[in-house]
Order: sequence, then structure tokens, then C-alpha cells
Amino acid sequence: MKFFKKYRPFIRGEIESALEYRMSLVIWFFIECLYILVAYFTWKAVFRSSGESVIEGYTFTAMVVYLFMQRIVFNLTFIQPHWYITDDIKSGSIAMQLIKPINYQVQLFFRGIGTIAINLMFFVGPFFILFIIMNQVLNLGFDLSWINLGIFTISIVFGLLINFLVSYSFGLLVFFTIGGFGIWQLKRGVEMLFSGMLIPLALFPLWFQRIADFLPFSKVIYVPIRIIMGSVEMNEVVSVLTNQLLWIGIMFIVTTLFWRKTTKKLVIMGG
Amino acid sequence: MITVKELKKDFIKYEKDSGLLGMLKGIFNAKKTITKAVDGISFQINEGEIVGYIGANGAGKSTTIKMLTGILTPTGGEILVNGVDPSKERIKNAYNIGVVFGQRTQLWWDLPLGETFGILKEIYGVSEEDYKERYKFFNDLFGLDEFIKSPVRTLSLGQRMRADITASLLHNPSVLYLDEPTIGLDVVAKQQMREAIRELNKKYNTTVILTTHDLDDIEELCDRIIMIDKGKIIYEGTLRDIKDTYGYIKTVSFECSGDVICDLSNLEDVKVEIQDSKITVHYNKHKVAVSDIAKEVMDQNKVLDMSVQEQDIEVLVGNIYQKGV
Repeated sequence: MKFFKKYRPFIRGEIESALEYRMSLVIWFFIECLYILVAYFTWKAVFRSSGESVIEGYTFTAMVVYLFMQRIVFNLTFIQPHWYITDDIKSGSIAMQLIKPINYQVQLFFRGIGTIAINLMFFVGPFFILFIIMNQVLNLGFDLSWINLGIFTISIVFGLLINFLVSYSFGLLVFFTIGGFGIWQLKRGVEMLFSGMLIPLALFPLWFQRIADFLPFSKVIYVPIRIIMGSVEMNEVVSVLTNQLLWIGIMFIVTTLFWRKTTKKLVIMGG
Repeated sequence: MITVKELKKDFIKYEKDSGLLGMLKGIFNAKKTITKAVDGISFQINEGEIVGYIGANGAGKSTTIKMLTGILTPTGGEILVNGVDPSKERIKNAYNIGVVFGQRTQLWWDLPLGETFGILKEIYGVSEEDYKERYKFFNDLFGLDEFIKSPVRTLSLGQRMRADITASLLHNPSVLYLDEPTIGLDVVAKQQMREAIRELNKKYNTTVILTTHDLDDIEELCDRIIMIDKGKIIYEGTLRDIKDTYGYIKTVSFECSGDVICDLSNLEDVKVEIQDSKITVHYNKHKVAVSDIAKEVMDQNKVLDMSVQEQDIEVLVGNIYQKGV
């Protein structure tokens, strides 16, 4: 409890900072809508020109559901410690973080939670309402069971932790390279491909799916989407969630060791 | 109490050739050079002392401060701040110390100032009573109420500095590190800052370590100075000693008309330079009054303009370094 009290201000600080720039939130909302619109019409064209009604197990309506869920899951797991790290290192404010009696990694996590809270209010909430309306009007045939929602919530929390730890380890690389841009691009590219963010992983060749299945990125986006869409069988659920937990464990050990090495190397910019 | 023994810090730098081709070559084989930023420093600072830690740019001041705060890990040597090794127990040490880096801020850039104070209060677990009492103390000194509701990014440098000092002291640390706290401030703000440092030192018996380029800061605040150059201590003692020993602290110059003559042989310890119609006199202000020099020069010449300059710390350090202690 005392622990939470110490780090809670970082959530609040992040939310208040974001609310200071309301206009940028509005613009982001439009960008998100645009993304959904573009993807919607792209899939429409794909289905029309292919002449088939089912592509790799996805009907057009299922694809629209996937699209919405992908945006919802993406925004719920959008935690970007490597942004903060790059910023802290470039501006030298990492020094100001390290003079406080707080754990830097935990602090980054709580700052990230602040962003998620903003996403929940401004993107996920509206999308969900929009989706429910569309589900009724366009007859998408999406059935939400309470059990699925419960499992989905757990897998989102796990996915969030995995994404945090993965992004964090990418972020720690910035301590060595100083510049963060290349690292961001690398991370974004790998993530786009292997997480199922671009298209459902089922649409890729089998060998690619095997690789994606092994890597942590699919545990962040693809796994929660499949759970909420009800494509994970009940007897698979335990193994899917355990697999996520396993990745949390692995990444936690990796980042802890990495951080120890990093603090010894730390150089603070600007004297 | 702070004890530092044989403290060392090496930085590894990679040299790259200039130009695009050089940069590209540098990716594959950059030349590795080791800089000894801090090279075997030892000192001790007692509770409640105000110590000036001075030296030219790049002398290793900030590096030392960063090691004392636990941000940087020393290459060698030992540090104990109130019995805690900062680099091994950074978080424990952080409760004991307050830090102000003049060129940076620890305030939340986008939030109103009061929010930052609230956040710090929770991070350090400061009780409501203590917070109120300390806030009142700093409000009396700095007039914080005036800008407590403004977002930090809209504060002036002087306001931000006052807020930063307050932020670093809300948890009442026993040691305060001030890295160039008066940099960029105007004369009034500087004076206010110095008064505040004196006040809090008196009230809370806070140990203060201060790095600065401003001789007045040191003259008005510090009981003792430690002077470093190229990572080594070159002088430790009071400022008065250094000024008495290392003479020509001040310079006075006269702009004259017509033929210039200057004979100051009856004054002790002065050095005269004449260039065209300009007379420059270096003098030790503890031995000679500026009025005596002015009187002599004015008797001998028609003076159009006159100005007195304080010698800055770089020159002083330079003098000491050249002459040795």
C-alpha cells in the first residue's frame, strides 16, 4: 500500500500532463478513426476482389471485429517506456529521476499506466461504444461472454506487462546508443510484423506463424484479440495464459540484469 | 557528515574523425580515449557546514556531485554520506539528500507548481504538518504563493530556481547539493537565493555543498572552499586565505585623455599596465583601497572613465595552479 502511494503520483502526473494538451488528444482521436476507416475499406476491397467470403478462417465481418479489437487491445497495452528513457537521457533529466528515492523501472511503469488511463478514457471507451453500435446495426455477429471478458482482462494485464518489459529493454539500449530513433524504428517494425497488429497472424505462411508464436510480441496483441473473439478454446486458456506469464518472468530477469549493467555505464549529458 | 576517500572516475570517450567519411569510419574503429574526470579526491565535510566546491569548467565538480548523489558509480575510491554508500544504496541515500542542478529542473514541466510539491510530498512520505511548516518557511523566503498555481513551463528562471530549491528541501534532507544555483539569475534573485541558503542552514542545520562560478556566492556563504582542477584538489581552506595569498584579486582601469603617466610606487602590491590612454591596475583589495589608487591616478592624469572588475574564479584558479599552493 505504501509502495502504491509512493508511485501513484506518477500516474496522476502523466494524466494531468496529457490533459494539458487537450488539442493533441483530439487530433489523436481523429488519427485513430482514420486508421480504422482506411483499414475497413482496404479489407472491403480485398474481400470483393478475391471473390471469396472466407479468407484463412476470417469472414469480412470477423475482419472488422478483428480491426476494432486490434485498436482496443493496442491502446490498452500501449506502454512506451523507451520514449521516456530516450527523452530522459537526451535532456539529461535522467539525473533528476535518479536523485529521487524511487525505482526507475517501477516509475516508468506507473508513468505508462497514466498513458493507458488516458487511452482508456479517450480511445478505448469511444471505440467500444462505436463497436457495440456497429455490431447491432451492421450485424457483425459478435457475442461477448462474461467469461471471455474476464480472461481477456487477465491476458491484457499480462500483455501489458510483457510489452512494458520488452519496450523497456529496447529503451535500455538507448543508454548505449544515446540516440533513440533507430531503436524505436527497429522495435516498431518487429512489433508490427510479429504482434498481429498489421493483419491477423493466421494470414501469414505457417513458418512465419511459428516464429511469431515463439516471440513475445504476439502475446501482447494477437493473444488477447483471439481470446475476446472467442477463438481460443477453453482447454487452451490455461496454457495460453501460462505462456504469457512465462514471458513476463523471462523478460523480468533479462531487464533486471541489463539494468544493473546499465547503471554502471551511465553517462549524463550536459555536464 | 560526508567522507570521500581517493575518489576516482574515468570516462571512456570515442574519438571520431571529422566529416561524413570520418564519421562513417568512426562506426567501425573509433579511437578510445580515457579521461580522468575525477582523479583521487579525498575530503571530509562536517554536519552543518557550507562548503564551496569550485573549479573551472570541466574540472570535475559536477562529476563529483553526481557520484555523491549516487547517480554515477565511481571507478575507484570510497564515499560515505551519513554512513551510506550512495552508489550501492541509491534509494536510501536519496532520502538524506536534496539536489539542485542549476541547469535542470526537477519540477513537472506541464503541471502547476503546487502539483509538483504535492507529488514530491507523496514520494518522500512527508506528513501534512511537516509539509505545511516547511512550505510556510519557504513561502516567507521566496513568496511562492505568487506563482504556486502557474504551470512550471510559464515560470521565469528566477521563480523556477526558487521553486526548485524548495522542491529539493521539502523532505528536509540533512545534505543539500547545489550545482550552480545562481546561474543566470539577476543580482536581486542571486541575493535572495544566498539569503535563503543561509537561513535554511541556520534553521535546519543542513550541510550544503555548493558549486559555483560566482565569487560573491562563495564570499557570502562558504565557511570553507575546496578547489579542484583537472580532477585533483589544488586547494582546501578559507576564501580569505586564498585571497590574501593569491594577491591581485581586483582590477581597476582608467580611461584618460592626453599623455598618460602613472607612478604608484608608494602603494604596496600593485601592478600597472599602460596601453595607449588606458591604465589598468591590478591590486590586492585587502592591502590597498581603491580610493588610494584612484586618487594617485587622478592627480597625475585627466580621467574620463573608470571601472572596477572582480577577478573571476577561472583566473584565480589559474593563478593558483601556476604558482602552486
